[in-house]
Amino acid sequence: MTAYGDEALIVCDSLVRIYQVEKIEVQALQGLDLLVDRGEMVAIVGASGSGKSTLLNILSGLDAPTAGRVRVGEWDLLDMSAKQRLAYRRSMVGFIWQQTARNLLPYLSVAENVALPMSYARMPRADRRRRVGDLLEVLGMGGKAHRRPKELSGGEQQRAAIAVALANDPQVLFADEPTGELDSQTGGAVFDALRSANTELGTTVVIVTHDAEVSSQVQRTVAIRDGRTASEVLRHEEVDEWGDASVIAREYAVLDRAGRLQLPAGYRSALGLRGRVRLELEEDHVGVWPGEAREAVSDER
Amino acid sequence: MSGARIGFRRARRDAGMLAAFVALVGFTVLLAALMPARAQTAIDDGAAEAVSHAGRAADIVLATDVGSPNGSVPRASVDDLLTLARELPARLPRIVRETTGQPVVTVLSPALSGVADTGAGSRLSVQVGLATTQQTQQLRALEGTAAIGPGAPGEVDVVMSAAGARAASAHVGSVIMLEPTAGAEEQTPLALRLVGIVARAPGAERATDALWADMPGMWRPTDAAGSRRAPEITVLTAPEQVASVEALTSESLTRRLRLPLEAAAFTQERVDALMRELPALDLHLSLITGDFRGQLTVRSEFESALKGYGEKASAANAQMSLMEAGVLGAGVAVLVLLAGLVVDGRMRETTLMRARGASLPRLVGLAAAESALLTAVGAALGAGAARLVAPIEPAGIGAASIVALAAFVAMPALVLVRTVPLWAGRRRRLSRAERAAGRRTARLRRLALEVLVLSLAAGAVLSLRVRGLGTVPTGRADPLVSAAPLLFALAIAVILLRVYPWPVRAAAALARRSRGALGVLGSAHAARALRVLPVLALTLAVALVVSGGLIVETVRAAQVDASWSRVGADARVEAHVSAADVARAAEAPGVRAAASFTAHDQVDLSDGPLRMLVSALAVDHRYSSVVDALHHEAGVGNARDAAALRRLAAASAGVTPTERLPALLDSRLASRFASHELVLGLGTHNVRLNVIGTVSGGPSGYHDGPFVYVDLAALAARNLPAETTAATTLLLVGPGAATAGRGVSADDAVVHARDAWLQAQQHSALVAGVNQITTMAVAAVAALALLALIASVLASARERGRSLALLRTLGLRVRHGWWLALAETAPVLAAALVGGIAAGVGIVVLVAPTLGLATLGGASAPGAAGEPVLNGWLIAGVAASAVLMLAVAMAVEVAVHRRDRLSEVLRVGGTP
Repeated sequence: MTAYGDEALIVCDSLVRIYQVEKIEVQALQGLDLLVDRGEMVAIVGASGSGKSTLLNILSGLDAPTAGRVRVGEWDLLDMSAKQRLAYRRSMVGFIWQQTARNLLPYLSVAENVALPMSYARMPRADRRRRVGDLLEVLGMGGKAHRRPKELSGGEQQRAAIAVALANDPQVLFADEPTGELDSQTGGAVFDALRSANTELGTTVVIVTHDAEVSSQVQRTVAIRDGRTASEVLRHEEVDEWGDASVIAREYAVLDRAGRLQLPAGYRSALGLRGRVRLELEEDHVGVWPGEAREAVSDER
Repeated sequence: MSGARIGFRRARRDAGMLAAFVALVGFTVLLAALMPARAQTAIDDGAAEAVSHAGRAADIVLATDVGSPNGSVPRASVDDLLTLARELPARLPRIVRETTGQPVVTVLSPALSGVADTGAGSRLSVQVGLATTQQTQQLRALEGTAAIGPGAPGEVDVVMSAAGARAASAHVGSVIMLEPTAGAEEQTPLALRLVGIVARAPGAERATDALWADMPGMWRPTDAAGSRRAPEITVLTAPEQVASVEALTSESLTRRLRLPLEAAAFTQERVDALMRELPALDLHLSLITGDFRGQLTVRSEFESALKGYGEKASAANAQMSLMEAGVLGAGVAVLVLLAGLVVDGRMRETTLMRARGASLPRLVGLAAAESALLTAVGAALGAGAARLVAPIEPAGIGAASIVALAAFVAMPALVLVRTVPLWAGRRRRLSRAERAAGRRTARLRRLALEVLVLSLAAGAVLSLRVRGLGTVPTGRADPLVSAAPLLFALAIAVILLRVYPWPVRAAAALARRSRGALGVLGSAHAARALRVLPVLALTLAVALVVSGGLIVETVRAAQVDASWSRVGADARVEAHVSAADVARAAEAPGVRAAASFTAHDQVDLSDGPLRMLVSALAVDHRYSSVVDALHHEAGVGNARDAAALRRLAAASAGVTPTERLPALLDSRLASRFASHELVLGLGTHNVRLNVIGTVSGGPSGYHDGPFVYVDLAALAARNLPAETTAATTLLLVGPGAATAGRGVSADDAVVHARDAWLQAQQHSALVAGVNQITTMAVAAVAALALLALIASVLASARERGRSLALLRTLGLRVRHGWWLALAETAPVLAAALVGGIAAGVGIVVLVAPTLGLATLGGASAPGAAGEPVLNGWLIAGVAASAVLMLAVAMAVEVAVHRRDRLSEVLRVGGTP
């Protein structure tokens, strides 16, 4: 018997995170399950306070869950020594934050910023120089390698930040609202850079975003509501009989490991599903019926 | 990318802040190095001053005036003594050699009776001294010659001083016939021919006083004009004539070899060393005298004369080390505060570097390297500046090293403390009960820490009060004296941190009722403004300023108290004074009261078998008026004593010589003697007393006590010797006292003016040193406090900038921006002010009694405590300075936000 998410690169299993602010407790995650496969580009969306940034912080190793299990590649994030945690940050993951100014050291040039993680990982100088050049070229920043962050536009700063995040060839790139501070055109360019990292370098990319434009361009969008994965949208390209390609998006509800399912609000209101509902197991599906309305129909018969 | 390059770029960006850090390290190291040096200089100057005040009595004297010419004990010849004087310096122990001048040989005959051939053939008491080369070199002839030859056959040539010649009514060419004493009757009288009247070389009187210390009659003969005694003079003769003089007497001549102490050569260390060496010198005298024939004994009053210095130096040292420790503590607190400002300002980048894979050792190492460089530069600047001012003492090197170590450790330690929680990845407890238990543990941990600090402070203060200063040698800082005030201020800061939220909450409740938004905003900012380090630094600074100022005030008050005690009145004249002299003085302008008395120290007071040694004061009828005036003018003594003395005068007026003499006892005696009928032994006379009352004390500042008072006139009526009943002291009270005292016509009058005594005390090396160190410390901590305040304003400036920007979008006027800073800073400063004043007053009240403030003030009683003086004006001044500092801090706040761009702050959280 295989364990939950054995094949996945990222495994979040029943994650619970409770914050304590003075005497008030906040449950940011309430048993969240998530699997991300190697090479995927996933967007995590949700309303403010839904728990998406908490999830990203846990995956980054910045925070620890109150309960549950979390694994990224070979790394069990709850069972790492300080040394392992350091190695995890150096080799396994890369980060990009929303605030463009927060991603780069202001007193270093772009090339120096990109070289910094490599020097932490003790990469030889020649390799470092070559890789810095390659990365900046891939991200379209080759001509601005020696500029300081303040001499770059916001989009350029984010592209430079992506280069920094990719410096040690991580398996996963975590991006927290990477286009949040940018206009749509610049944001598009940054998203292209992330997609290049995913497609050309094979890096798994997890993006936390509000940006519908971004979430619509990834293969999979995971929606979080009230600290749980509520639904997923999967996108694939279909070519019709005339040879025209189009992206087909299909939204799925997510049944968690405890068997819980969140019905979309639209469905609930349309059918008046409220409070107690009745489930009926049919041959090929499960029916969900409003409790009292259904009882009334039976009585009439 | 090397760490060095990152460090360099980062340092270049933060150059202003780092320069401030370097300057602060330099300033604190300068103070740490300089203050012990200045303190040691004061203590060493005090040693030189004490030796100088001890006078020639403290000199080391090797005396051979033992045995008799015909005795079995071999006696050294004059030549032996002169040879020893030449050879002795090379044989002396190092400390004695370094602190004494050229040995002085004195050979002096006993007083011999002589008759001068002048006038009516007056009789003289003559001492003949040997004129050594040292002495003759310092003489100049006023008449005749200063060069003493062998003299004509049968005559001995001598010289004498002009005062001696006047006393003897002699002139150059006069002959004094010395008669042999009992036991040498077979000798014929010896003729002394006066060949010169001499004086000391101009300006050499003080420098050469050691040369004449053992023949005081040379320059100050006793002129017996108006008395029945013969004039007493001293004459000098050549070495070859000493034998002729010696033959006239069966008594031995005084032979002394004086090692005069060089006051300027003394330091506190040398005083201690010489005190240790003197007993050994006596024990091992033969090692330094070599082949010297004859017995030598060592005499010196050095130890007893310098005993007071030891106590004063300990007191001064304690006060100065208290100030030094306070400055050091405040300096280190502000250094850590500034280091925190630098580290916090870089936290975003540190977090980023950590996220990008920088290890903890790497981040801490980078901070350590930077800190080491900054500390080295700052410490070098500070030490260099200190070196320019004064040589650095070992204590200064120690203190500067502590500062440098704290400066070096601060930044890397703060980086470590702030970075460890980042990316720690520790799982939080799931169970609510476990989380509650965790909170409880944290609360208990804080409580335990607070209790520890409070216990340490209480323990330190208690042990200091119990053990005092006695166990630590002078010149070294008493660790407990240094630590107790710091711990006390720390304890107050801990209490402040606990209590602070309550008044802030109360103020917030009031503020919320106000119409405008500023009250709500201000109270919200004030509630979260409290930070440990600024509160500690400011509390410590205020405590030091207050305690330093109060200590100076207490010492000043102790000096005034001591001046009344030591002088006894505004002026005291030691002279034989008549009733007419006293009456004249009492009528002099500016004199409110005058009285005379004579004192007999160490006389017997007995009641049958019970005997005590007392000081008997025979006071005139005006004495009560002086006590009354002292009580009303200076608050010295009490009205009951004056009333008792008036009763004594009244009771004595009608008493006959056969009746018991009315007397007053001081309270110490009254508790010992149950009977009212006592006997006072004055010389060979016993005076029967009738005790009619008690007084609280007597002039213990210049007499031993305990005291018995009798009436001078009534005592004089008892047919006692005139010298027993002659008034020898005149006390004067009032602004004109000193002038009136100087007007007393008696030749031997010595006037002690209280103002002059006070001035001398205030300018004494130890007091001046304490005042200077205190002033230096107060100025330094005031500067440090201002820096701490500005640093704490800067520390929260960025966050406040964001709040301000947001509030401006909601309608806050830009000119009200400083209100938020004021709301955050003023409560912290007010808390520190209250806490600091409490700590400062507490230090003075609890610790000062053990510091010997009264001893330093010049009190005569050893270990006198000195009541702490709490000067309200000083505290008000400190509060006013705090308001001024707050204004400066607000100006800095306004300057910091002057260039803020609203949009930029709102977008990225700050203006680059």
